[in-house]
Amino acid sequence: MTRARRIVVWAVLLGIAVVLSGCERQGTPQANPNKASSAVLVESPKEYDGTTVTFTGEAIGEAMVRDDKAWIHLNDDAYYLKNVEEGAHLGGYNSGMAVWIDASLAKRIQFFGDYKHEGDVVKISGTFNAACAEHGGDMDIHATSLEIVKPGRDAQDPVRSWKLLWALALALVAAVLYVLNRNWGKWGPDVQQGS
Amino acid sequence: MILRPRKEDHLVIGRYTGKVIIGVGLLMVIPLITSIVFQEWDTVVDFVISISACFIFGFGTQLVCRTERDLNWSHGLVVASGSWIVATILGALPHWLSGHEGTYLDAMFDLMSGYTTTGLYLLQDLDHISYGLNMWRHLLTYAGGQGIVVIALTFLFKGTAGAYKVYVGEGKDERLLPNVVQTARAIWLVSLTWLVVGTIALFATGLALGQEPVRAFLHGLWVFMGAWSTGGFAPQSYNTFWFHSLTYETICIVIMIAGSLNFALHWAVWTGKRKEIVKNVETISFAITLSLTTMIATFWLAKSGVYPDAMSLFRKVFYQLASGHTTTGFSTIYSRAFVTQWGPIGLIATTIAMAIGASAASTAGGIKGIRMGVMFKALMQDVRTAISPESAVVRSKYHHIRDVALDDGIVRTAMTITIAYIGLYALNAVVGTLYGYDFVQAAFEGVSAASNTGLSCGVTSPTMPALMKLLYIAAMWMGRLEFMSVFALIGYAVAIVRGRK
Amino acid sequence: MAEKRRSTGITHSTHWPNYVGGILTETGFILSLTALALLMAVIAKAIWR
Repeated sequence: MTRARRIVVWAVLLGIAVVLSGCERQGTPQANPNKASSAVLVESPKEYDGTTVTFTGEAIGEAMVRDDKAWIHLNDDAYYLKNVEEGAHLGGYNSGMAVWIDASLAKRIQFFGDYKHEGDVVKISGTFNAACAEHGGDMDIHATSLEIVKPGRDAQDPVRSWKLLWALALALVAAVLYVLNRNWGKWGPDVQQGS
Repeated sequence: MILRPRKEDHLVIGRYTGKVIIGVGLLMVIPLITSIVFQEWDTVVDFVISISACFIFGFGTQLVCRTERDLNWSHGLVVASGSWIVATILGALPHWLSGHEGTYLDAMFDLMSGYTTTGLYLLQDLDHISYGLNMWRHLLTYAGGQGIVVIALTFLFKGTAGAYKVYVGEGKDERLLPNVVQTARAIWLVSLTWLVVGTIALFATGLALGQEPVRAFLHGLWVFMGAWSTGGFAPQSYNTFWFHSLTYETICIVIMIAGSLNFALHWAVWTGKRKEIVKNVETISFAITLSLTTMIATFWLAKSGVYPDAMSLFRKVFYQLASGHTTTGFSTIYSRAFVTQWGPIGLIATTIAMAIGASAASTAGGIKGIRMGVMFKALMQDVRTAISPESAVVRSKYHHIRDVALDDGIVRTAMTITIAYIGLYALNAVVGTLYGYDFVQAAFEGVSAASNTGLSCGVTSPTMPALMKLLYIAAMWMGRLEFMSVFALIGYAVAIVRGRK
Repeated sequence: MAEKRRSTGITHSTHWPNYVGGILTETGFILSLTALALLMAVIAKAIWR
């Protein structure tokens, strides 16, 4: 009895371990376009402080226009050419730089990266600040030029049919259980009143 | 002697856990609707699968576990901690199905981090995830902050005596009003009122900062949820650095600190006892320790000359320290900048702030202000006893809503939990160090996980060892539930295998 | 929502001025801590220029 129980417990634990580790996705990340990548800049801010850098990355989210200037964010991570939905291999967190630039230049960017878009890949050059005095100590690049290296596009994320089948099957089972429960006559906002 | 649980015990626990999981399934309807609105069909399917899984578990247990018995205290503790595990396993489905998680363990890490309002994450390519999944991330941190059980309590339990026992098991033992359901309602009133006020403030600021209306609204809502629940999730990988704005940061600070206040304190202040905010032992303790740690970091960073002027020094230091001390985990600097710019003293000051944490019965984690206050008063009492004449009786009290006499029982409980926290912090730090991370960084990250903060100096990453991920998951869980429920669950598991019949 | 419908009185309109006062009190407390931090930064920068 106890032996059987012990075997069951171990089998369950082993099963969990296999499931957890077996689901790993991996692959080679896309090569970084920058000599001084965002990771390098964050890792040694002092060395690059005040120097002119060129930085290439995917424009992310939006351009936040403030008067005649704008904030844009450029990611030079594993997803700057292709996002996960389109089959890019997982390659760690996002990584990028905040860029302060003329609004007129920022407006040239047509696509900003999000779930439905792969953003324009943009090359800028400007001054890197480890802790910018103008912007409350932010680490940023004050850019003076902008060039669109690769235009962005709509990203695709089609529904896979195996997923749809699972969804239908599980929803059906859930519905059956719900109905069963109801007709047993006991389910519902609790029977007891008290406290 | 430990008694082996009987069938009846399993049934009661199963039934209540199932109800909580039905609650989780219902919660997922909100991100489902979000995805439908934004026509993110793949995400819609993910949520249909996940909701169905929750309902199958929930209705399945209702079907199997038919019992009329009510919960006793140990059941309550087991349900509280057990349902958090099931909720983590099933709630991780949308994350996993999105394809943005390296392993299922990573997805579970994110879920536990969300529910426990920690804010560390292993999700990759956050900047390209759907609005639906982002809604789920932030909603679960908002819900986890209020307490998953509180939610189930409000909508599903309908006031059984047992409900209160689960509620306590989730680490919130304040009763603002005589009845536990009324208390849950008062908590919701405070939370939802702040939700409306905070979201509007952030939305308006976002618009002024140049965001599109839809994005400004969603960012406002999500950042509010991250701040109020002291969670620390944000919609972009840049966290709140994204906004580059003093106004936005100030609003975030107000929401973070407000979210870290005790619900009993909120209720007292809201019902006319305004003075309570400067008399309460927790706000006093918080103000002192926050100012001290801020001072250490400010002076150190001023001396090392990282920031060019007083304004940027203030903005960077106070934001990270307030975020750390309230155990939120928002940041306006890069994770690695803690190491490459702040240096060891900056890291240690932040670590201390995170370790102490904010108020009990709030969404915050850490040792908590009331325990700091109680232990300090106890120390002072001992000192006074030592220097008083032998015949003198030294009494001490502290103020939390009303004056409470300091007795040994209160001090003992405060000490026990504090020691448990410190032990957990130390364990995380040592394991991290053994895996080859720098000690100060391992301590920073370990305290961040165990105190449910979520600030990172770069140790947490999808490539970190699986054992450390597991350890952090356990630490977040224990830290949030303040140990007792978790010990009860472990005891229950032991009893199943080894207990006497 | 549910709790508003069958209100036990805590959402009654007469309470709201009090609640708003509560929010303002909390905000005031937090902003004074913020101001203190700003003061510290100014002093620190005055010492280490």
